[in-house]
Amino acid sequence: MKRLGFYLLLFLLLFLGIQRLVVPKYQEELVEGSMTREYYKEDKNHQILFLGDCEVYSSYSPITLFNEFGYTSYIRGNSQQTLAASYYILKETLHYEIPKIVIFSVNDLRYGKEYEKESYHRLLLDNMKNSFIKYDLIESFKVEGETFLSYLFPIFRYHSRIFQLTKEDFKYYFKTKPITHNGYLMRVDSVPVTTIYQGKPLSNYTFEEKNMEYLEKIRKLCEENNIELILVKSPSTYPYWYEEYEKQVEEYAFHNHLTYLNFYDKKEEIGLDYQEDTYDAGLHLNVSGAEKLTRYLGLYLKENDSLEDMRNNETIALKYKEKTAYYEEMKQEQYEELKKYGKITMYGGKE
Amino acid sequence: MSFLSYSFFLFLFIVFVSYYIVPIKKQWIVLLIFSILFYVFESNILYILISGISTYLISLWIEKESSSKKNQKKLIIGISLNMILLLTLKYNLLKEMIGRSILIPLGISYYTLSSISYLVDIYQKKIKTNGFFRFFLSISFFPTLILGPINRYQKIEKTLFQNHSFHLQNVIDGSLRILYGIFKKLVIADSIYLIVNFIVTEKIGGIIPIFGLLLYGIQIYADFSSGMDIVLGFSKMLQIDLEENFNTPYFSKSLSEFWNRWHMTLTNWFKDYVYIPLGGNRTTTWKRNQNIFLVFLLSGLWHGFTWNFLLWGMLNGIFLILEKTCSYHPKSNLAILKNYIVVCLLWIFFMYPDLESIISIFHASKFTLPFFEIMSPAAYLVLIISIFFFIFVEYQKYQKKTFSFLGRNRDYILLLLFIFTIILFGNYGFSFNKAEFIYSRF
Repeated sequence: MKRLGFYLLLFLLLFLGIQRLVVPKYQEELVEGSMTREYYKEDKNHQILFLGDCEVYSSYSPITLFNEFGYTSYIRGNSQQTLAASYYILKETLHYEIPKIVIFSVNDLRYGKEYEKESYHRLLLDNMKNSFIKYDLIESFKVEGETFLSYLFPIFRYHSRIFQLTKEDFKYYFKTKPITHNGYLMRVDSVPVTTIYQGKPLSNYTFEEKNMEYLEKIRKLCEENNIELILVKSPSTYPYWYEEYEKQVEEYAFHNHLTYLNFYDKKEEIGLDYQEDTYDAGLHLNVSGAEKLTRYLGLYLKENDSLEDMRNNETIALKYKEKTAYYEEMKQEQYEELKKYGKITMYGGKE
Repeated sequence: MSFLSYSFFLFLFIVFVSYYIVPIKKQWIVLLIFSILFYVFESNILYILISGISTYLISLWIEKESSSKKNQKKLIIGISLNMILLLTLKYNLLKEMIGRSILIPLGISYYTLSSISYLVDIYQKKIKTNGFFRFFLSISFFPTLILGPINRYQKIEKTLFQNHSFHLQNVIDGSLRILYGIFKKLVIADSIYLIVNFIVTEKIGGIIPIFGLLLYGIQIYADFSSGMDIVLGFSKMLQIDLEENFNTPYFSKSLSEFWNRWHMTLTNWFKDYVYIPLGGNRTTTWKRNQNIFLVFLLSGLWHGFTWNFLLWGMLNGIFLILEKTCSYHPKSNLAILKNYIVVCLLWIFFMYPDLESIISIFHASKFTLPFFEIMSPAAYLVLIISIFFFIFVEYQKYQKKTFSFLGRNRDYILLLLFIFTIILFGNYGFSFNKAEFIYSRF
């Protein structure tokens, strides 16, 4: 029996040890898989929760929002985060904390079946804590070939990486570094917008029924928890945001007495310069763009909501002082890198 | 439900638990219920029921009569009924007749031969009927439905219906065998599949198809025997000892020895129910040669009604006749290699889907294999080490040795070794193309 116990323990250690080795660390080349993990390490006392896809994690800077307005916030956004994912992430967040406001990016409503890809599911789920909410999420968007077991034990998905291990896998085996700033993924480089794309006519502009169902679920969940839900559209120049999309969101917001802010129409007021403020010619805002948009949002919240200024709370202020230092340090590091190589090679910049 | 799906292993687990929690006298009923459930989920149970019920009724009818002449007619009726079902369903003759095709019932090639052997054994008074449900379990025992082995009531009656109490060592032995099977399938057979499939689909010519055939010899054996390991390993966990299908076939020094070691339940079935009734060895040389040829022709056709299998069967028959005629009984170990090459060359009819593809080798325009586009160098290294390990295990079996040098911890060390080799180096998961068991199509 002792021998059996020894070998069982050895099996467990080897299994978990090898699993840790082969699962991507999301620290240098592809960093988007770190976002889910980082939330768990946070103090859970945010006044604002941002939900959505890349349009939230690249457009709003919680550090700026705190330093300039005193609002604590966190972004729980992932690449191509579907409505279903946003709903389950909100559910999971409410398990830890109840924010005063949820700011939801309506860009997700565009997503149809073609956006449901295993690679994006992995970025979101690889570092999500095990819970029934996670299992429901897996079941809700599993595509062909994805198995529940491989999410429970990612070694079954990444076993073949044993032949593709890099320095990154060993360097961050025991400890990972923070990649985001309260969920904000910083990029300082800029690529000017040269063309403003016009959308090609579509055969159908109606958002998928499933998406609207999940939006309704998000709304209800907020209502049940006395959370104000604000819908936002970030100022990306592409993919094209059709007038028909806009009307559907406006209608939904009107019927449900929700605030809807389309920042694309407000670029002058925000002070956005598309020659300077995006890092990929119009899709994602860089740090300069994100700080401008955050200031604009902060002013809106100050005028329209009665959120407490948390800068007077010593513990929180101290925490944000540290966060700000890391924020500035990363900004500096990226500027130096940009100067040296002409491009960002870390933090997902290597393409 | 594939042998290598999570759902199949979950099913095995449920059967295993149910088997040991019911009173031991009812264990076979658990197997019967789960075999029926398995069949209902996987295929149309109607045909196996028709075959089973008709076979059993005719067996009762034969038992009633003492006159051998009258019984012969009943036996012919029983065999014909089974053969008609096999021919119409497996070879799609129904499509020729009524223009409608039907999905081939699961395991029809295996349970038809089991049913025929039951009828003949009843006729020859080697066995007695012992209840329909017992007989039905013997032909429908679910692990054997996909790849065999071909069950003969006479041989499995005792082990299948005996009472079995739980023994941990059997569970460990069975698990080890299952894991070894999965290792052979996912690490060896499915890696070779990537190379062989490339050679076939890209129509590569020159010396490469020969290289492919030598690899295919390993692939088909690793693939087929892995399925057997899973079946026999699980049966071992239930303490049911089914017949072995392989006995280190590639250590044979001649083709006739090979056929005594390869797919043994099929070979023995043809020997006992076709070759011997036709006269076997106790006849003239000419007649004996005719019988050998016929047996291999039928064996080829059992695999499929195509020119490939017909030629494969015929050539095996001709080579075997030549060996017998020349009294070929080599002693040298070099004969093992020579025989392996002959067997592999004959696998050409399995490796290529049809004769046209075989002929196309001679008109090929590509003559090289982009090795590292198919797999990474590290994956080749793992494959080579795994093949050496496979050969080493085969050699140990050939020498009738066990892994005793690993000492008291042998089972645990091997369990860990197999589990981690499969997890890390197996061809499975989201980014891999699944290769079905080669013999599951027969």
